[in-house]
Parts: sequence; C-alpha cells; structure tokens
Amino acid sequence: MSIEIHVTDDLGETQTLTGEPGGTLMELLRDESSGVEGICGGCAACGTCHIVVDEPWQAGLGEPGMDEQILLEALNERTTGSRLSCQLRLAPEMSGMSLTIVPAEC
Amino acid sequence: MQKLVIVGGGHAAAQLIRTLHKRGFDGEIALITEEAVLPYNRPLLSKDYLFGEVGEAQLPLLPAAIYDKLGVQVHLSSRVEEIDRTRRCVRLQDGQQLPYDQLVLATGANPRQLDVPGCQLEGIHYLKTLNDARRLQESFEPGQHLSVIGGGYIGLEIASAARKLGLEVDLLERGERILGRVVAPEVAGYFHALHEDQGVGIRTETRVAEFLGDGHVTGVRLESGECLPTDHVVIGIGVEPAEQLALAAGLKCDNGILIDASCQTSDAAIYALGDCARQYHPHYQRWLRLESVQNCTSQAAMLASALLSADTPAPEVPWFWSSQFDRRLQIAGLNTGYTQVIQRGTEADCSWLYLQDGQLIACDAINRPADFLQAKKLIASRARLNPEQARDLSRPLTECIC
Ligand SMILES: Cc1cc2nc3c(=O)[nH]c(=O)nc-3n(C[C@H](O)[C@H](O)[C@H](O)COP(=O)(O)OP(=O)(O)OC[C@H]3O[C@@H](n4cnc5c(N)ncnc54)[C@H](O)[C@@H]3O)c2cc1C
Ligand code: FES
Repeated sequence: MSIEIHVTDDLGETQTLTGEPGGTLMELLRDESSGVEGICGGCAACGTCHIVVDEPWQAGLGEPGMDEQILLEALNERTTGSRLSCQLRLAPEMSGMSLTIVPAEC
Repeated sequence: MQKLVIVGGGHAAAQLIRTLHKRGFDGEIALITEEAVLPYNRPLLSKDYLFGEVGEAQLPLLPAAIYDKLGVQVHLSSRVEEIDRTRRCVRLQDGQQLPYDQLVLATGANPRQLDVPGCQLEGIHYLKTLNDARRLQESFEPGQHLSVIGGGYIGLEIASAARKLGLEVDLLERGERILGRVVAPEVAGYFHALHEDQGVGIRTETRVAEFLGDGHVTGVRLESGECLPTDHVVIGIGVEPAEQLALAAGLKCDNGILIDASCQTSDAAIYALGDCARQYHPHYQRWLRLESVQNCTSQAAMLASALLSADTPAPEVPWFWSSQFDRRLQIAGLNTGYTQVIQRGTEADCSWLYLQDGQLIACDAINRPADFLQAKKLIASRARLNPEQARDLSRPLTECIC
C-alpha cells in the first residue's frame, strides 16, 4: 500500500510524494524533494533531515528516541513538531500527513 | 543526447545521480561499477551493519526506481580498464567500449595493504566493501580473538563493533598514539581510555613483523618478537586514491586526481569527485583530498551544476562523524595548524575546540551536537573565540565570540 505525504520543501514548493512502507521518511524526502540531504544516512548524526510535522499528525508519531532528542535540541530552528525524518519509518498510518522541510543549518 | 559515463559506484556516484535526478538532467547516463551491487552506505559497514543493528535492506543509497526513472544504464561487476581521451570512450574489462561526451571518475580509494610475511593467510581482512563486511560478520563468533591493525577511525569502529559482538580485541598501532594523524593528543587520550574501559587491549608503538599460521591466521608476531594468538585480523591503515586510470590517461594527479572548483580535471570532458579527487579549498587555502560522505555530497552539487551549466556552489566546511560504543563523535573543520585546544565538558559529553591564533578552525564534539552545529557555522565565518567563555558549558558557543 502506498503512503501519501504532503510536503512543503525548502523552496516553498508543495507536492505530494508517494512512498512504500518500510523505508524511512528521510529517504523519500531526500530522493524526491528539495532540502533534505540525509548525509549521515539516518544515524541521527547530522541534522540534515529536519522536518516540522503538521499539528494533527504530531501525536501519532510517538516520542523521539534519545539520539533524536539530543540532536533536535541542538537545532536552532526547532519548534513543536520538529522531527528528524530519518528516525521515522514510513507506515500506513502516516498516509495523508503534511510536513515542512527545514533547510540544513549550515 | 548528451552521454554521461560514471566510473565507480560509491557515495560520490550515487549522490551525483540523485542530484541530477532532482535537478532534471535529461542526458543518457551509464554507471560502471566493479562491485556486484548498486551503491550502498559504506559508513554503516563498520558501525550498525557490523554489529547487526541494520540489515542489508537498509544499505542501498538510492531506490532502484531512480535508476529506472533516469534511464541509467547500470553495469555491475564491471571494470573500466582504460580511458581513450582522443576517441572519448572507455574500455571495459570484457572489451566493450562506451562512448562519452562527459566522463566522471568516482573511483574512490583503496585500503593500503600491509605487506608483511603471512599477509595472504585466511582470516586476514580489510574493510571496504559490503562483501568484506559480510565476511567479517559471518566469521566473528563470541569469545574469539580479533586483532585490529591500525588505530584510525575505521579500526576503532571495528574494535567497538567486535566488543559488542563479544569478541576479545587487541588493537595494534604503529604510532605513538591512536588517531595520531587526526586529533589532538588530549582527544586521542580520551578515546584510548574509552576503548580500554570497554576491554580493548591497545598497544601503541607496535609494529607487525609477520602473521603466523598454516592456511588460516593463528597469531601475530610483533617486531619486538612477542607473539599474540588470534583468530582474525582486520587491517585499517589508511587508503590510497584510486587514480591509476586517470594517471594512465595522462590526467594531472598528485595524491588524487586534481580538479578545479567545478570538479573538472585537466581534460575539460572529464570530471572527478569523492575520495579519488583533490581540490583547492578556499577556506583552508590548500589542496585537499577528503575522505568523507559530506565531501561527496558537496562535490556532487558542484559537478551537477557544471553539467547543467548552473552556478557552482561554494565548498563547505568539511565535516565527518564516527561512532564508538555509546559515543557519537562529530567533527567539523580541519585542525591542521592549530595552536590551542580547549576542552569543553568532560566524560560522556564533551567537545574539543581547535583554535589557530584565536580563530576557531575545528571542533571534535562527543555527544554534543549543538557544539558541532554551531562550530561549523563559526568556522565558516572565521570567528575568534574567548577560551575562558568557551570552557563554560552553560554558554552556547555562539556566545563565546570575541
Ligand atoms: C568502513 C568505512 C567506514 C566509513 N565511515 C565513514 C563515516 O562515518 N563518515 C564519513 O563521512 N565517511 C566514512 N567513510 C568514508 C566514506 O565511505 C568515503 O568517503 C566514501 O565512500 C567515498 O565515496 P566515493 O564514491 O568517492 O568512493 P567509494 O565509496 O570508495 O566508491 C568507489 C567505487 O568505485 C569502484 N571502482 C573503482 N575503480 C573502478 C573502475 N576502474 N571500474 C569500475 N569501478 C571502479 C570501487 O569498486 C568502488 O565501488 C567510511 C569508509 C569506510 C570504508
Ligand atoms: S540523516 Fe543525519 S540525522 Fe537524519
């Protein structure tokens, strides 16, 4: 089953991306939109996969893990709804989710 | 149609293909790689993959669909043997010739070989490819003994993974200390203590004279004469740029294929990027050959711009990461030429700041991503830090500028 994600990228463009369950959200954004680089490949080591998830979808994603928490706290642009997209695995419940990509901070 | 041929299927090639895909490149692309698999995540091989945290399914760098969408003609298990610059084509080992309008060399770097008696014995490994990592994973059994030769990042990561897997580990380093070429003595001391606490037996100023064994390695004889019994050896003593193809074709090389700001070599139709290439870095005002994923990403953006006739992005401050046991190390900048090192914090969370006459030039941050991210910006802006303030953990680095 395909998962639809509504994305506003770092250039302000909006589009709907379709992913398959199993991969991470970072991989989908990195490959198909602008602003997510995912340089460390998803180790929660670089912060180049920062997104802000729209309010209604935030709670459903569960709490960030320790590594994600530490890195998120280090980001200047962090707000409620900030997540590292590499720590979110695509799942059917996410279909319809909206998010905004935050450009890498450097 | 414009014909682009890419030699080598590592991080640099994958990132170039991804960037061309996103920016709407409409030429024909051929990718030729010696390896039997599509480009995958190499850093994970010595980290999460080795200790079984991530599986092979998580390693590919690009989804297969991108190669299809872009119409990339992929030649796996295939080696480019020669570049014919006059006819603008490359010759593969099976004799096939592929013409190009533009050629990209993304051939990476190869592990430096340790040439001592016994080096051909079974059980002696290097870690560069997925095949190497599979072999290590299959052969490591809890309780066995591993000897790691070389105390660089890869050697230390392998030691850490092997301890997690329950092996006994010795690490032999030829120099005075581990990480000798890359960090300050204080930082080396920190990692030395961390590894010893975790049960890695580190010996510095130790040279291997010979590997012992009949068929399979059973021991390492040191130059001091001492013999250490072992079940496996992994050698990680650095890499050398894969520049043979370029050299044979008469391209300018000097510890790496020399490229300009748009990644062009001394032949205007040939580009190079990644571990095999050496480029002038305006921030450090030196020629650098970097071995990092970030460098591949940054150079892929430059090269894609050249192919698409767009403005070349400026090089970034280099950065790198490593993880060992529960410590996540992030490194921003290059510390060569530092005159002062400031330690910020202790134990599990701390950073070292390298200053050159007061200016921040590099930072090693352990479990302190905020320091890393801020240091990266401060390095780029050539900020000068007040050392007293920078030692104070309650102050963000951005508030220590003087
Ligand atoms: C175990 C390990 C851990 C690492 N950890 C980190 C890390 O934590 N962070 C980090 O930033 N970097 C890390 N690195 C370094 C990083 O992986 C490299 O900088 C990066 O892979 C370089 O990419 P590349 O494409 O230039 O070269 P490579 O990834 O080396 O790829 C080159 C490819 O070209 C192929 N090739 C070469 N010549 C030919 C030919 N003539 N014909 C066909 N194919 C050819 C090779 O077989 C290879 O597949 C690590 C490297 C290793 C080995
Ligand atoms: S990809 Fe590096 S932190 Fe997410």
